[in-house]
Amino acid sequence: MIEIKNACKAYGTKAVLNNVEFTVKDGTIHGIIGENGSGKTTLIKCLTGIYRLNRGEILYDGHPVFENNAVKEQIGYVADSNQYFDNYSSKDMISFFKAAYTNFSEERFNELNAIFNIDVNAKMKQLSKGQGMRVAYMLNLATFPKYLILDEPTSGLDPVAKKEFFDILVDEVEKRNMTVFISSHHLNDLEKICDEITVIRNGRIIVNNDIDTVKNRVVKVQAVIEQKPENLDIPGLIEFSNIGSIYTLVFKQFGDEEKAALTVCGASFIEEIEVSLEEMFVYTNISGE
Amino acid sequence: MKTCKLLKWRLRDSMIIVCAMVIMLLVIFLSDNLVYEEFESSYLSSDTVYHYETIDGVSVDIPVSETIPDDGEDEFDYEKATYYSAISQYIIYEGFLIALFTAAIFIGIAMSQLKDNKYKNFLASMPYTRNELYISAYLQALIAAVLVYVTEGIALTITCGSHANAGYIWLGILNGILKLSFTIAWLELLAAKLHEYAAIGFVAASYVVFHTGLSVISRCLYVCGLFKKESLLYKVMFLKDIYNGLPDGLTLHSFMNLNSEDIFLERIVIELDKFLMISAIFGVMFILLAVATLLWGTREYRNIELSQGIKTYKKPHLTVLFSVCTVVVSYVVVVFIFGAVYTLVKDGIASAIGYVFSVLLTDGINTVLYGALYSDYLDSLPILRPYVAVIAVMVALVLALFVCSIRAFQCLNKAERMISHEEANWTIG
Repeated sequence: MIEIKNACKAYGTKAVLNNVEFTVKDGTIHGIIGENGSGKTTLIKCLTGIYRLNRGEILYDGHPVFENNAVKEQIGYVADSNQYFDNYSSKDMISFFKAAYTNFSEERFNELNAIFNIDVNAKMKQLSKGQGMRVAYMLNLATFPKYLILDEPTSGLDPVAKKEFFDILVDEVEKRNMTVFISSHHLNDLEKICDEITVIRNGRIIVNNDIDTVKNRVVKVQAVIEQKPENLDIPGLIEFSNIGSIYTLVFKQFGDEEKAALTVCGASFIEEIEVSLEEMFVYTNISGE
Repeated sequence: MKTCKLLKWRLRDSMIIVCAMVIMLLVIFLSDNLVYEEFESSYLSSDTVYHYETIDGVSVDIPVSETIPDDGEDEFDYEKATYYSAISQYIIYEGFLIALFTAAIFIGIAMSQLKDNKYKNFLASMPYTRNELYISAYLQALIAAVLVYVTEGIALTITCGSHANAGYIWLGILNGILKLSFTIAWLELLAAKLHEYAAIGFVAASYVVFHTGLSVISRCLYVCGLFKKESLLYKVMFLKDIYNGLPDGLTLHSFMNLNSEDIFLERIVIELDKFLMISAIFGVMFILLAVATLLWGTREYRNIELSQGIKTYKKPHLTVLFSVCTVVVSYVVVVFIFGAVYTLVKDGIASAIGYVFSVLLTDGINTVLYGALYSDYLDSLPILRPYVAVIAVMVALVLALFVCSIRAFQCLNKAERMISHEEANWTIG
């Protein structure tokens, strides 16, 4: 279990993380989403022990991560771009990881490479971004991490590789009870695999809950309104659009009161439809929630 | 144990560059040595026969041995003069040679490793503590320094050994040992204390103190200690090396028949003035660059340390001030007390001033480039942003290449011109 307690981090006078506090349960895939500059990467760097918090603590099974090799050995970290030595081949990186991680298994790497198909003799600088990411996944998964932290893991991956990667990820979570913490702007991807979602804005946690609860922060309604209403001044309405008489409306919440107000506006057929994570994120940003 | 493993990987990553640097250094020194060998054997050996034409158009072949005067204490000693020439040139060369190989290694590493600090983050996320990362980086730098300094010592020994009597060889070795021991001390200090002091300005200043001290002390040994008895001869040879010939109106022949120092003193002072002017411009420029490096480095380091959670001084401006003061004081103390005052006492004001600026010139380059080099090796201590460093190094590289090219050209043509001087002024009987 990862416990983030009252985490504060500032660059000079600029506070980037403000009293961030949440827990990542074992064996779950936990996504973090937020706008650019909201503090996601800083949080990830604190989680991986790269940065030290100004205040608060980050505990893995009760142990702090910063300057703690025992904890770091249990963490795999894949950054958003190739971070390995340009002049090293994958073979060299295997040796490098072997020297650092006691659990590293070359056998596991080769198993994964049977799927990802990377030339292990090619230098990192010769690989494309997507290939570099694949190497990073293989290296980190071959350490059998208890925790895998991913920053924009699908950037550069083609759809096939992305699917293969997610399949492996879910498999590892199921079989080894691995915990995954993942940051991405590809919310559709997160929606498919995440158990829990944290929304961060300006260094503060806005929402932290299971994915269905998070998505239910907004309600999307479709309604037929034959006569174009003069105005749609309904409390809690965040946004609406229409194609002819079919209106799509997004509410902060949708109860009897909102339904009645909509009926007054001439709506004849009202139906709640599913909200995607991406829509939730966009609409909550618009509403400033 | 983990530090050793990490060191192994760090060394592997840098060893190719270090080896290339060492080879380049040896090649430069040895080629310099060969140029002098050629110069000595072709033009200064007593077995060489010079071919002259008199004013009347009569060809005369004169063995050089016949031109050697055999009376007086200020006789021209070919062996000694050649050595002076070599060692003087070496002193001038040193800064540029170091600039060359430092530039090579720095560009190689800076371009590949400092980009976006990505390796730093990667390494920091691995199961290594900061101490393990720092110490392995320092050891890497130390090993590189050992290789470089040992090479330098060997090269200097070769240079001294071939041009001078065996008694001077120890200087080459001493120089290597001195630099090495101070480098070790410096790196140990860093390894033990850096992450506690955590002010890059202090580190840079420490480096400047040590390196400047070493450079100046070694120059004192070369210049003041070795040449104190032959100050005029040294000065003349020094000028000859700088200006590719003797001062106007002086010829090798007249110089060799030197009977009184007074005849030449006035001309030498004029030449020294020229040298001073050029040195002053470069010296000030590089000192400013070194100070700017410190200022920039402190600012950059503050940004990094704040993000990486390293302890810092609460008042960075004081750190900068401290750094600059340390540099200034170190220069004042080392340069003026050890170098200039000594030279002043021994050789007079002109020499002392010339000495100061020559030190500033070479040390200015060394300081900036070594700072860049080590900051790069110690990848958690970015003194310079990569692009600033690359620009600075490129400028130094261009300067170094320019100066070395000119010097190489001068070496190859020196004797020809000296003969021309002889020809123009030669009279038989």
